[in-house]
Amino acid sequence: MTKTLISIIFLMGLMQPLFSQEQPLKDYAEDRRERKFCLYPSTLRMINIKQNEDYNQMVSGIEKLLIYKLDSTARADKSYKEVISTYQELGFEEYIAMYGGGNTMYLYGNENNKTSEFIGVFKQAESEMALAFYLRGNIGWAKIPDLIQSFEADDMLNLFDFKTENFGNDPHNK
Amino acid sequence: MKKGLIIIGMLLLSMGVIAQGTVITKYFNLLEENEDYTKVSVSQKMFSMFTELEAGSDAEKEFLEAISKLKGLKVIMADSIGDAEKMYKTAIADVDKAGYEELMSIKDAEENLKFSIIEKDGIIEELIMVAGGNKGFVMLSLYGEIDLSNISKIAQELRVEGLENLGKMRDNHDHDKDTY
Repeated sequence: MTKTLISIIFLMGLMQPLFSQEQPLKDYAEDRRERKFCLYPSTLRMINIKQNEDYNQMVSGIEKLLIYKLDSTARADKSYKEVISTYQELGFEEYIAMYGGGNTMYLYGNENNKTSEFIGVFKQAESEMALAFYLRGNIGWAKIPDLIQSFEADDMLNLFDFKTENFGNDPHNK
Repeated sequence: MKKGLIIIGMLLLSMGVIAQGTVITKYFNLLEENEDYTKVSVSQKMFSMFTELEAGSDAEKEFLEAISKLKGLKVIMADSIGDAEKMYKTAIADVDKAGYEELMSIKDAEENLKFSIIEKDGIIEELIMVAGGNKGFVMLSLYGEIDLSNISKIAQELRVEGLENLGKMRDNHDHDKDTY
């Protein structure tokens, strides 16, 4: 009996990384969102209007990106801290934490040989915008310096303008 | 008796581990909910990401090497607080009390700066900087394996507010060399 139980626990431990852990963020953000964006490899490439090669290489390993634009209540009550705690309990490790003084940024990750998962929260006091995201897959970190060098404002479609009159407009001609 | 020695040994070992980052962690906890202060924490996980970057030049290569040896960075900063001078004095007293060794201090009309370190077997394990002006306050702790000759490179490339002060240490160090 004990042997069977140990085997089951061991198997469960092995299987755990195979399941993605986007659910805690979904549970939290679905009722607190203004908008939700769900991006897959094809859509990640699609928003790259100018087909910037560095960007395409950076996102080539990303399987899924979920972005929630949080509502004013979530921004004010800082309830996003709860979801950060949940992911900490799930074994996600801190990469960056910044809080106080208006701006907030949390980035947590869980990397293993199969798939990496990241979750994060960004809140900017000036723009009154708060985003929570979940990312599954591998980010081409090595491409970031090249991307910073080559990136221009109108290279990408601004998703946050979706369903507004600015969507798809050239940012230089706003 | 043997048990007692083991316990004492373990306590001493754990004290050595706790010593790194104790002061800044204390201030992180103390100012956790205080919105006047921005708190930044960068973990070793984040620094390890830098090792995946491709160095384009020798300077970048040196920077990436220096970064890869770091275990973390914590910064607390405030631009406009009423008790900046008091905070600075209290923080300096806490740093001294915790057994950090003073490396350098700068005092002028606008700002006071003090750099202190924890060194073990010739390796700097933590560098803590406390800065206080009329209204501003910064406490910065860099820990891991720190090479002072690479400090200004790290300060330049990371572009974290408050970190530019680390460059002053290198400048001052060079100036001292010129003087003697």
